[in-house]
Amino acid sequence: MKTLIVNTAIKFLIPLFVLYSLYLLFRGHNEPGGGFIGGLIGALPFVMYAMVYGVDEARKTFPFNWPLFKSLGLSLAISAALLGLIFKGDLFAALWADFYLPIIGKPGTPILFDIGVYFVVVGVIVELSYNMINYED
Amino acid sequence: MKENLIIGALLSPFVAGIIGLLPNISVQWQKRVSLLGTISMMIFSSLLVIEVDKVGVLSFQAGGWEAPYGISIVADRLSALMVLVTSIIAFPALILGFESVHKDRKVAKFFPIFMFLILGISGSFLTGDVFNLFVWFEIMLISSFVLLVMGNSKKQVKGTIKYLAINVLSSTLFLVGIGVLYGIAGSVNMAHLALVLPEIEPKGLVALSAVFFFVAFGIKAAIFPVYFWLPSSYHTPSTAATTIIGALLTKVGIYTMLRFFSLMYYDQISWMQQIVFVIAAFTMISGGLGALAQTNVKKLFSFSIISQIGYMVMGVFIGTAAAFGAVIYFLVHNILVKGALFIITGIVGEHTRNFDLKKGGGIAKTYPLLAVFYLIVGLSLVGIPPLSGFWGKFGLLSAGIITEQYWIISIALAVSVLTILYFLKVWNEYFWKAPKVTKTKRPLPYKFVISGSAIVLSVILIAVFADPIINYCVQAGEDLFNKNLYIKSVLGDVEISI
Repeated sequence: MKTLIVNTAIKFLIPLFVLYSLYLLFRGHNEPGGGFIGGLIGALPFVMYAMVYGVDEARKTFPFNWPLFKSLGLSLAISAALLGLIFKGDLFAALWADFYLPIIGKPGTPILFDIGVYFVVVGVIVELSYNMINYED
Repeated sequence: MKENLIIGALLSPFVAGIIGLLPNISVQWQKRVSLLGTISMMIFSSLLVIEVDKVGVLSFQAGGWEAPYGISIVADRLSALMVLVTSIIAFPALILGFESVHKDRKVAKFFPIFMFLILGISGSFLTGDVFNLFVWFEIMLISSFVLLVMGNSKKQVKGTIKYLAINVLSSTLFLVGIGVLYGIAGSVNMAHLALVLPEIEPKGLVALSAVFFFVAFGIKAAIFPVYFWLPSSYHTPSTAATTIIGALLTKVGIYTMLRFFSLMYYDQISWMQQIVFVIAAFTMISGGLGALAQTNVKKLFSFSIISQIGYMVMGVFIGTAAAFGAVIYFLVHNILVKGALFIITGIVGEHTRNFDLKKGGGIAKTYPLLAVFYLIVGLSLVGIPPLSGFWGKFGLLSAGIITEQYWIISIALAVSVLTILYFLKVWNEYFWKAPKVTKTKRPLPYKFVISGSAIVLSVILIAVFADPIINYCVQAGEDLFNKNLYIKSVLGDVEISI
């Protein structure tokens, strides 16, 4: 896909996509959204960038260790479950802080779990797409 | 705090899997971590069995939400035993994998995925929630897809596509069943459903959901008309993957069938019984005949799995406490013996690079140890007393005779002859006859010896300790039949009107 419009637009769209995915992630506790949907949208710009500029270029521009994301995400999710077990006696029991953060709201273990899901989804989708785009070449 | 044993048994493979998924971790460390995870799971599940045997049922609610609303995790005698057997079979399969998994497969994270498969299987055994069961099923299936296709040969992709298609169908039916169930009962908690289902009108919808679940689990368990996917996919992946998938995955289908039709759908057994018996009879016969016709040893034992599945389905639908107990013992026996057969013939196949019966031969002379192993396990499968197969079949048949189900029992007995025939076929062709091409003898890698001895030892042990194990299984069968213990443990002290 070599069109000037997409090539230029994608650079401006990346931060927009990431911000929107974070917005979906954080509103997910009470409203539609959450780690899975947020993660899918969070992975989109990186996939689109690779579709426009090629996988090698995308890997160079965003030198993240994508495979690490899924281990990191799974560890976050399981630690959210275990914190509940350790401090409240029930696996997955929700722990809540008693203060509010601006924008995010009250932090607690459910959001930790959601962030874990977010990381797993972003990591898996990006890695999968990169491999599949390469495969077609 | 005893409930933490359940969490420990689930966390061990999970954490091992997460660590193994880390990028840049060496294959050596993947192996070590998986081995550690398996051993730790084995310890936790043995303690769990001991603990559950004292109190009957252990359960907890995820997040502390009360039972019909939260997700219940329940370990009764049956679940605890199944988790223990899972870890016991995982150990030799893993050791076998250390030696036999091809290099490029290892790089592609064979061992972490293996751990996730174990996690999915044990989760399915431990959950007390129908929808949660679906999620565990998906973990298990996705891992098994990866294990089946890993290695990328054309043959494997072909087998996996069939496996994938049929399992997507089965998952869809399962999901529709859950939908119907939730629509009529308003709950997906198994213990709660056990209480409310008998009073629900219209009865037709309850029966409909039962049929959906029977077909969905039937596909997973590979019963007659829907077993064709099994022999065409199980022989393709590496031996370690075949062992764990072949020994356990179909049995998860039987386990869920046993759980659903003892706990929730017990009323449905009476009208389904004769239909299911016909299906079970065809499963036994076609599995046995199919095994006789095969010349690839992995394919042969895949058909043998199907044949034995018929016995278990029959046992579940005889529907007495004794039959449930017998099915549980038969499940344990079958998981270990089928695992052992896949491991031993797998060792022979991997070592001589030949899975074809016609080209094989002479193993009894070149590797007498393996021949002895096969003989013990094979006689166990056939059911020669005092080996474990005898006690399993004896329990099932006597439960059938007490309830006067004579025709299905006679077929089950007749199919035993087929079992002897294909057992002897493998023995004659693979181990006994003089080989056409004499190959030079290479020493067996020590990992093969460890793996083979471990599984054969466990097959012998369940025969030696048949008495306590049978007592435990009979008790587990009675727990399933009475179900009050289970319901009380999950829901607390509620009015039980059944």
